[in-house]
Amino acid sequence: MPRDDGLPPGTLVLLILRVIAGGPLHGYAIAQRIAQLSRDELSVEEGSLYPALQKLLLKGWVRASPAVSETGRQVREYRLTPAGRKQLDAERANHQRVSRAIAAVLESA
Amino acid sequence: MNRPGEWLRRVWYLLNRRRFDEALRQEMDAHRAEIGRPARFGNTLRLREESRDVWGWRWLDTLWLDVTLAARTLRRSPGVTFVSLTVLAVGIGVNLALFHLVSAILLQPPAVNSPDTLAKFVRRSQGSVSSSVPPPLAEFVRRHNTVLSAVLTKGTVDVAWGDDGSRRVQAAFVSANWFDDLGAVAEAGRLFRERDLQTAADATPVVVLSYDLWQREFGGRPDVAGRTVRVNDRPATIVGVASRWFTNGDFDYAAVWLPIGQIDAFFNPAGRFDLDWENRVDLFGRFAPGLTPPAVQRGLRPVMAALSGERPAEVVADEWLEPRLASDRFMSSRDRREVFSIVLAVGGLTLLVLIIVCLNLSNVMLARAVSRVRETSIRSALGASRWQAIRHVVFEGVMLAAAGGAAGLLLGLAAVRVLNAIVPFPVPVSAMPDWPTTLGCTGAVAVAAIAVGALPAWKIGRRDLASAARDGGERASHGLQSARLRSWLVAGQVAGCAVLLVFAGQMQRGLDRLLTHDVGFEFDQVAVMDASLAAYGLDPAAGRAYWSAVTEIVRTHPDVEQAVLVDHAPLGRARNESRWASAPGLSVTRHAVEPGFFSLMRIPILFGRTFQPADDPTSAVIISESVATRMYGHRDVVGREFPRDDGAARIVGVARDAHLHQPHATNVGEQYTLISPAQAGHGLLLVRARSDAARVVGPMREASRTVADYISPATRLMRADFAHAAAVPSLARWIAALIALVALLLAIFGVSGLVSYVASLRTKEIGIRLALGASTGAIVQTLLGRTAMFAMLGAVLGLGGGGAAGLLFAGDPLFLNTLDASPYGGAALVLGLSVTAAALWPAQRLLRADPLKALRVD
Repeated sequence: MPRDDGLPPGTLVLLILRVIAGGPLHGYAIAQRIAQLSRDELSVEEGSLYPALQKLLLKGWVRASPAVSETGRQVREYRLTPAGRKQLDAERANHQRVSRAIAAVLESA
Repeated sequence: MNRPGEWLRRVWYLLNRRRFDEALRQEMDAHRAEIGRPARFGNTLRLREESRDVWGWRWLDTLWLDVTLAARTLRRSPGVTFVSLTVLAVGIGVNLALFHLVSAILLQPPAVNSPDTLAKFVRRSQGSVSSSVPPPLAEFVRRHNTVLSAVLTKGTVDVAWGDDGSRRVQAAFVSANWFDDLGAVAEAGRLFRERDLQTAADATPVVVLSYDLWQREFGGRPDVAGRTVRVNDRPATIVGVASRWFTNGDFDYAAVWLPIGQIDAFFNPAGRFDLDWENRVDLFGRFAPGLTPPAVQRGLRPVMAALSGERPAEVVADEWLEPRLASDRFMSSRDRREVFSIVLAVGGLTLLVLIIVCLNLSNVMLARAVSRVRETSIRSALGASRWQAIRHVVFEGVMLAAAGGAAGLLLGLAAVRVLNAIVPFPVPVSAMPDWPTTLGCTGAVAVAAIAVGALPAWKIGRRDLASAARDGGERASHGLQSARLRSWLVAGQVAGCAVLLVFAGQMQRGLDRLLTHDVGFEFDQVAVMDASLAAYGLDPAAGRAYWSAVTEIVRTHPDVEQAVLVDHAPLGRARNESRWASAPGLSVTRHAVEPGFFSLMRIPILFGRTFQPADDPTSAVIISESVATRMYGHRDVVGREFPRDDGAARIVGVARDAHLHQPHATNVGEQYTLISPAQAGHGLLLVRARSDAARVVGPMREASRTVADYISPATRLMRADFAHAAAVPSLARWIAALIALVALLLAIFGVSGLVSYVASLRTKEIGIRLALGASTGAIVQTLLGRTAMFAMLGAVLGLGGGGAAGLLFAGDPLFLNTLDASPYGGAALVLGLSVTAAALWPAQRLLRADPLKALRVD
C-alpha cells in the first residue's frame, strides 16, 4: 500500500481542495477519493489529513457541517467556500506553472 | 490573506472547543472503523492533539495546566503557603500604604481647576523673598497687569467663633472670585460667587465652612445653610460647606472662608484691611491663555516698576513677582528638590522592606524546590525539557506573588483607611488607589515574582538533573542546601533589618531628645497672646499704645510673673531665618524681643549682657552659642562685629542655645535684636505665670477687652504648641518602629527557617554523630556555623547602612543624629538576641530528639 511517499510536498492542500470541489466529502471519503483518482499512486496518511483539514477550516477555505456517512456513522462533511475556490484556482495555476518549468528543465537536460 | 477572519475563527474555535473536539473524535472514530484495519489508523489521541494544535491555543492549555499544578502544590502545603502569602501581603501592604500617603501628601497638586495655569506669587528683590504681599499691592497688580486672567487673594487670620467667642478658628478672607476660579464645589448649600457678592444676594456677611468644621460643629447636618453664626462677635450667615477635596490654595488649613470685601464687618470698623500696607495676603494668579510662567514673570515686571514709582517707600525699584505653580504644589525648585529627596529616602526604606520580604520568600521557595529536586529530575528523565521541568516552580512563585499582591493591595488600603481615621493629615487622603499606587503595586508584585520564582528556578536549572534522578536527588539537593546563595539571602535580610532598626532607633532618640531633654528654654508656664492688630487696621503707633496698656494691666495680676513683647512666638509657625556665609550649614532664626525675654524664657546669657532700652535695634545683637562657635570658633565673642565679615552690628551678649522653633533640630542657631517700635506695634505678648499658665489666659483676654473691646485676641498655651511640634516626629517614630518590627519578624522567620531546613536535611547525619558520642557544641556549630557568620556579616553591613540612611534625614523634618551610639548598640542587641534565639530554637529541638529516631529518617 503506498503511503505519503507518492505525495509531492505542499500538494496535500491542493488535492483536498480539488476533490471537495466536486461536492462535500467527509475525511475518510477525501482520503479514498485521492487514492482512487490517483489510481492508488497517492495515499494520504491520517496523520497529515486531519491537521490539514483543520488548517483549511482555520483559513476559511472550507466549511464543515455534520452529516451521516454511507455506513450510518456521525461524520463531518467538508465543502469548499468561495475563498477556498479562489485558493484552489491559485494553487492549481501555481502547480501547473512549476510542473511545466520542472518538465522543461528535465527534457532539456 | 484574511487575518481578521482567521482570528475570529480562532476565537470562535476557542469558545466552542468541546463541540469541535467531540465532532473530530466522532469523525476519526468513523474513519478508523471504515478502513477495515483500525490499527493502521495510528494513535487517535495524538492525532487529535496535533489537529487541535493547528488552532494555536496550545499555550493556553499549557498555562492552565501549569496554574492548576501550581495551585495543587501550594494547597498541599497550606502552612508554608499561608506564611508566604502573609509575609508578602504585609511587605507589599506596608509599601503601598506609605507610597499612597507620600503621594497624596507630598506629590499631588491641590484639587483646583487647571493647576498648571494657577500660580502663587512670591515677592522678590535682590536678597529678599517674601511669600505674602500687602493687599494694596495685590489690588494694583489686579488692575494693571495684562498677563493674568484672574487675580486671587487670601489673608489668613484667627477669629473668635461661636456665641461666647471662646473658641478660635483659622479664617481665610478670600477674594470674591476664589471659589469660581479654583473650581470648588459645595458639599452642602452653596459657595459664595463673585456675582452674588456684587448684587444684593450676599450683602450681609456670609461664611463658607470647611468640611472638618462642618463635621465637628454641626455633625455634618445638610440643613446648615442659612443659619447664623457669630464670628468675632458679629453675625454672619452660613451659605454652605466646601467639598472635602477642596484644599485651600496653598495648603494652609482654613476652618472657614469669608469674602475679603466683608472683612470690615468682623474687625475694627475704622480699619481698611484692603488698603493697609501693614497687612499681608497671599497673591495667586491665573495665567492668561497660552502664557508660560517666565512670560508671566516678565509681564509683571513693568507693573511692579510702576508701583515702585508710586510708592517708593513700600516697593523698591528692582522688585519682581515670581510665580510658583499649583501643579508644583506652589513650591520653589529648591523646596521641590527637598521633597523629592524625602520621597526618595522614604521610598528607599520601604523598598528595603519589600526586598527583605522577597529574600525571605526566595529562601523558603528555594527550600521547597530543593525538596522537589527528585520529582523535577524524574520529569526531566521522562523527556521534559529543562524549562518544562522547572516551569512549575516559576508558576508557584508567580501565583504566590499575584495572590500576595492582591492581598497586599487590600491590606495597604485598609491601613490607609485606619491611618486616615486616627491621624489628622494636612490634606484629605483618598482611600482608593490612584495610578501611582497601582503602578507601585504592579512593580512590587513584579519584584516579588522574580525573587520568589526565578531565583529557585535558576538554581534548580543549573543542577545535573539526570544524575539527581539516579541518586534520588540527594547529591543535587545537598549541593543546593549548602550553597552560598542561601546564606547570602539570610545576610541580606539581617542587613535590611539592621538598617531599619538603626533608623527607627535614631528616630526614637530624636523624639527622646525632644520630649525629655532640656530644649534650652522653659515653656510650660508661658501663655501667648496674638491680637492680629494689623487686621483691625491699627497702625504700629496705635498697636504700641494697645500693647503697652494691655501689658500694664496684665503685669499687675498676682498670677503673672513677667510679660514681654516679641515679634514671633517661640514654637509658633511664623519665623524669620537667615543663612550666613561665615556659618555654613547653620540655619539662624531671627527674633526681635524685649530685654526681659531671656529671663522670661529662662535662657541664660553666657557672656556679655541682655539688651538695654537704650540699645539700637539695628546695631546691638545677641547670638546663641552655636552661632558663636560656628562663626567665630569660640563662644566668648562679646564686642565682635556681626556677622563676621560684614560688621553691620555688634554682639552685646551670647545666649545658651534654645531651639525656639524646631526644638529637636541639630543645625540651627538663634540671633536676637531689640524689638523696634514698628515691630512692637504688630507683635505678640508672652506671659509667664507664677504657677499654671492656664490661669493667666483669662486675665490676658480681660485686659485686652478693657483696652479695646472690638479686638478679639487669640490666646494659647506654649505647651500646646510644643505638643503640636512633637506630633510629626512622634508619628514618624511610630511608623518607623512598626516597619522595623515587621523587618525584625521577617529576619527571625528567615533565620529560623534556614536553620530548621538545614537541620531537617542533616537529621540523619546528626543522628549518627550523636550516636557516636559527638558533643552538642560540635553539632550546634555544624548547624549554625555558616548561618551565624553570614548573619553577623549582614548585621555589620546593616548597621553601617542604617547610619547612612540617618545621614539622609539629618535635616528638616526629622533631624536624626547619626553620631549617637545608642541606636547602633540597641539595634545590635535586639538583632543579636532575636537572631540567636531564632537559630537556636530549631537546633535545640533536633538535639533533644532521640538519636535512634533521627537515624531512621530517610
